[in-house]
Amino acid sequence: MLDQLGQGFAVLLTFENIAFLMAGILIGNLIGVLPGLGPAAGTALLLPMTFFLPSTTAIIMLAGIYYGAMYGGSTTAILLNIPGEPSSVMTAHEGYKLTLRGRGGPALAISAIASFLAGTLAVVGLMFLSTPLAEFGLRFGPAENFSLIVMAFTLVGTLGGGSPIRGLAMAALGLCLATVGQTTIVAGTRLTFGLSALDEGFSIVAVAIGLFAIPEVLEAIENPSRVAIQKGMVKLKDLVPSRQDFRDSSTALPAGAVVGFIGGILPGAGATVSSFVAYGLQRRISRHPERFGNGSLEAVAAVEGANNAASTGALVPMLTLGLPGSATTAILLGAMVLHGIQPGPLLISAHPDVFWGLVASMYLGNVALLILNLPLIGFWISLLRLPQNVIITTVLAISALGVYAEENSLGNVYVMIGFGVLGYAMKKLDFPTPPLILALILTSQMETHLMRSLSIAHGDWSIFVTRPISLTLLLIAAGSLVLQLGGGQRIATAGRRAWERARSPS
Amino acid sequence: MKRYRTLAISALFAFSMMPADQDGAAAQETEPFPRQPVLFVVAGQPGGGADVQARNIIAAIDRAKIIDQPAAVLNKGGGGAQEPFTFTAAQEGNPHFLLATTAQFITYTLTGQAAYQLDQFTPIASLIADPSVVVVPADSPYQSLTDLIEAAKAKPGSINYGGGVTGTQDHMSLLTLQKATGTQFNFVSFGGGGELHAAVLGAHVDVANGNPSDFLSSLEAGKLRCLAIMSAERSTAPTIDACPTAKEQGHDVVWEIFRGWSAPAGISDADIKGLEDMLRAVTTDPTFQEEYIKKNGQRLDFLDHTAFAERLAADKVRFTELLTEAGILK
Repeated sequence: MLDQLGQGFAVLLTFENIAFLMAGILIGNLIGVLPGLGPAAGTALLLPMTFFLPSTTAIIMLAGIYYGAMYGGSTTAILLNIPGEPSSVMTAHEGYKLTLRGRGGPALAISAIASFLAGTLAVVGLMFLSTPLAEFGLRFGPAENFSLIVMAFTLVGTLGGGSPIRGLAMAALGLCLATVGQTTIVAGTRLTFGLSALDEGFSIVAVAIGLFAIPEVLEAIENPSRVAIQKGMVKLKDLVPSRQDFRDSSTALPAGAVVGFIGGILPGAGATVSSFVAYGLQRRISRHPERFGNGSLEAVAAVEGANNAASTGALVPMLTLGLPGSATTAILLGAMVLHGIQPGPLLISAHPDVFWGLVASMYLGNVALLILNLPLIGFWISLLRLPQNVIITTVLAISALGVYAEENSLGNVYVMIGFGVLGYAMKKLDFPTPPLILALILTSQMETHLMRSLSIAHGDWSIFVTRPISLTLLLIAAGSLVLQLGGGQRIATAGRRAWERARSPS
Repeated sequence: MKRYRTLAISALFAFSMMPADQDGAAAQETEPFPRQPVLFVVAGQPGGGADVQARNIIAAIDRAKIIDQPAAVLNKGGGGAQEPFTFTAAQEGNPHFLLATTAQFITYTLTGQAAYQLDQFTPIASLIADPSVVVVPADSPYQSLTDLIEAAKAKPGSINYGGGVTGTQDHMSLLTLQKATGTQFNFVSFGGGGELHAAVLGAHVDVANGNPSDFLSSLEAGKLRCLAIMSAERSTAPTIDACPTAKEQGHDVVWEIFRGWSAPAGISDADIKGLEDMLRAVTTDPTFQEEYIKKNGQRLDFLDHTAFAERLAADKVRFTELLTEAGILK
């Protein structure tokens, strides 16, 4: 194994390969910072430029764009409350509150470090475990995917803080909104009222940016003194995470990476579901669960680790089985085929130089991305010192451009504006927004998996409990629900009393 | 009209490709096609079937310098959205927008949910015939299409048969098979080719059908077995050239789908000819033939403007019949 990795580094260490790797991660990072322009669009735009390159070099560069873009995704989420892709919704939820408290620097730093650790850990996983893990992932069929989403739902729960009733009301609204558009099961579309922009349902990016960024802009207009950043806070001391910050994130960094990597491999999960699961899990194991929802550094570390590891994890089924789990891995797969390399079970034996060269390049690429991103933090934070009117117009412009660029659709921009107004009203009336987005994202997937499972089982609901993986996931979900309803504490208290009674001599 | 032009220009701008020739649409008809950059409009994000075809076409155009204007892909809306259709329809009279035209183009109009009409488009050409293949996991008991059909006859409706979204060409391919063989399968619908591929590899469905490109890596590695290819003759692609046709096995079923391109309505005959010639030249590119068509298990089947229009009309009748019999259309 190490021999082969050495071989990979030998492939990598030519001037040409290193140069194009660096170009790839740099471009990817820039694309990732811009919301809406994700890794899929970046890879696609630059694909034609790689035609003149040798295939290994081209694939190293395109992969660099792919994971480079994942690093950039958190920047606008943390600084401006603009989640550029669904998987950074929770980053915006926690990270922006940190920025408001003047802790944007540490949030960006911990996010870069989490991304680095997760990215590197995921490459190790890709190297040692890719084939068995990819085979394991195949055991996740519709029933397992359904139970997985149920588990994600219960883990995240009411998303911390605020009134549970208001949270539930918003989740219910999200549930309703998720029914709009096409389903894979029924021919045609539903509840679109003839608007073709809604054929595919509400764009998650448009809804998330509408609910998060736009109300912030409206409030800033309403109350200009409410400045996001205290002037003069950009001292180096304020930019780097303290030792305490690292101690707080010590469980989040590995947990996020592991959850993300597994989620990336599973065909039905992906970066977004992983980021929710990592968030929910971290809140369960955290020593400071009360910080979740009010700006928790630990949460940012878990979520960013998860979505980064998931993007590398998604390469596992793509490379070893030829299965693209997302739009981006699909274009990457297409790019490899265009370069004459068919990903699949035969890849590692047929093209060891490509596979091991790619693995080696990802180790180096992750180090380079960390070195690139840490010094940029000071620059990003200093941008917040621009006058308020410049910031809010920029936020509006970036938001609209990002939403448009995702699908080149003007309809989505209207969706963003609509949800912006809704988000503002919700903010004024003190309704939480994350449950709405969570329900919107998870429900449409859940419905599809549910219908598909029942279709396979010919309408027999026992499919969810007779399959071991599905049953395990549902039991975890049930356990999490019990804990959440306070049952856990009661059980723990009862247990302690029983223990004390047993110990007391009487 | 002005609004649509603004849309077109902003689309070009978003791709920051080049200064759009604003008068291109209205330019004198004396100038030959193309008078401005050519955009290939496809649904969904990069990486989908039509997107990959567009990118291969553009690569061939660039290699052989077929036209002296740039060409680019415009990914419009989500994968199942009608936005690319309505967007292209709105470019009436402008031949520089080419819409990816597959079976979906017709099926939307059948369900009565289409936001466009077929006569808002000018069919230009179809380049490729993409056959359906029927695949099972390597350890499946079914060794041939006949095995599968006999099993289905013994227990009607019990075999889980995976395919794409209900009412799409994957589904109609099964409907054709059922009709020809008098069988009944339990159709299980999946979103994209990747999802379906994973489901059949993991044996969550007993059998699946799709285009060869959906399953190539697993067929190559022997993890899936191809029971039948639904074309008149065996494929020449090395991965599936051993896969027998349905006809060889005594079941007269052919299901191949066109993959073509349409321009907006109201363009001149000279422009139709220009577009047709451009696409015909693409099909003669050896790299396009070898690296794209053959590798993906497709077949070169060039239908020109007239032939493609006839094919669309005939398929509309055929699809209506199939979907009505299946109870999907009322």
